[in-house]
Amino acid sequence: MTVIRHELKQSRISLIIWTVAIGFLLAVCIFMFPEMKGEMNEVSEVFSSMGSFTQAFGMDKVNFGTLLGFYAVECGNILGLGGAFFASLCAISVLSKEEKERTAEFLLTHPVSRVRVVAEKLISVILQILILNVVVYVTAVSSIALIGEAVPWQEITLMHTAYLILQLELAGICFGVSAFLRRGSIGTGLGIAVMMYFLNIIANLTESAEFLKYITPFGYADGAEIVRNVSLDMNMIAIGILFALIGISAGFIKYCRKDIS
Amino acid sequence: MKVKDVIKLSADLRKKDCRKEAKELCERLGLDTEKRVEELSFGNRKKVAIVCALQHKPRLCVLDEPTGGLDPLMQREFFTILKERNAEGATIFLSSHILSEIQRNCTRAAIVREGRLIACDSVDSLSKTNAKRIHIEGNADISALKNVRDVQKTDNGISFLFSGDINEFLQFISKFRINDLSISEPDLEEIFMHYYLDGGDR
Repeated sequence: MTVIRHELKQSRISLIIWTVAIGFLLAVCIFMFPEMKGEMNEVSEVFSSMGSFTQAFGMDKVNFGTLLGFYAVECGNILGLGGAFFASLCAISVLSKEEKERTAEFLLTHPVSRVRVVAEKLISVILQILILNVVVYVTAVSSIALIGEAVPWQEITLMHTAYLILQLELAGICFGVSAFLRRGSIGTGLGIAVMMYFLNIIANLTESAEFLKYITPFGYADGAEIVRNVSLDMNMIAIGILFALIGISAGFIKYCRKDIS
Repeated sequence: MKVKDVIKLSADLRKKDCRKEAKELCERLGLDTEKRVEELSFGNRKKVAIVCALQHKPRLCVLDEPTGGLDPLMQREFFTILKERNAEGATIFLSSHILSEIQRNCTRAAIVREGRLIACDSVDSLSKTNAKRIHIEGNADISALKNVRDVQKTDNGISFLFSGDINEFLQFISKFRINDLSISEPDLEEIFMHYYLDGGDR
């Protein structure tokens, strides 16, 4: 518990900033909707006629004139990308920072096993992701209620669940990578998140690259697809969870044997 | 992180409530617990480490050059604390390059050279070699004297280690006119040098 508490305390400012930023952007987007609704039919046409750009962001699958269509694309990008960045940054530094900041000697000379250190650090990352997502979910739902639209509970919940799993997967992968790093972790974390994001865009653009959807978590966290099917693609999610578990196991195995200086 | 947070974290990791002991140690070492750790000087960081290492009253301490960065007053206070702990039953190991510190504060000492233990005994008996440190002020030619090592020229005389019969030495030196003579036990530092330079055979 001590390490969890310590980790949460240390990263509380970053957690607050990311949560507020994502929540605020989502709310702003939702509050913009009533004004744009009237003009949306035209906008919808514009958006759906931008060729591959439309495809890349999944705008060909939804109707921009409805709250759900709008939410799936606009807000999906904010929470998808923002949440992915947060989860990656959070997980990529969690194991390596002790060495980077030269606090490993302090932590590991105490009577706590490495397994315990890794487990508590992992729990702290998961907790932070959960906190961010719960706050953002509540913000989104209340914003929708505030603009007087009916809350599409099922779709919104499915979408947010998909993004939560996406963040957990990225966090699991970055967590594993973190155990191998000694410094320069932030760039690596951002790199992993951005790479996954672009893999999905490439997969959206060309049919021959569609298999990429099974590699990147953005494949199953596709707001437009979720709204259309009102369900999640369990196969992709299972692969994602497998990636996360591999990452976490690698983190445990590596960190427990690492020669830490 | 503030100093007090680090100390608290250390205590929490040991699952012990050490607030009273930590407060006392911080006061004795003059450590400001409200400061941020990043802003501390090397010596003050050392103090934080000392508080973390001692606040839970360990029965065994292994300290690696614990006094580096501490000013002489703090070093004295630190050793006072260690001696109190020792009196309460704790066993304390410490490594140091400052041999006078070992001589003043430790009961047993070991000398390690190139990874090998070359001497291990009580500080008293380590200091008690048959060699004496002799300082002579004035003109004395000791080149004919045997059992002499580590000859050093000083401003107005010479200093050397003598391991022969002291009576022979006194007879020898009486032939010269000298201003002053002192014969003392060599300190631990000289014994250490002896082990390191002479190959360790006593």
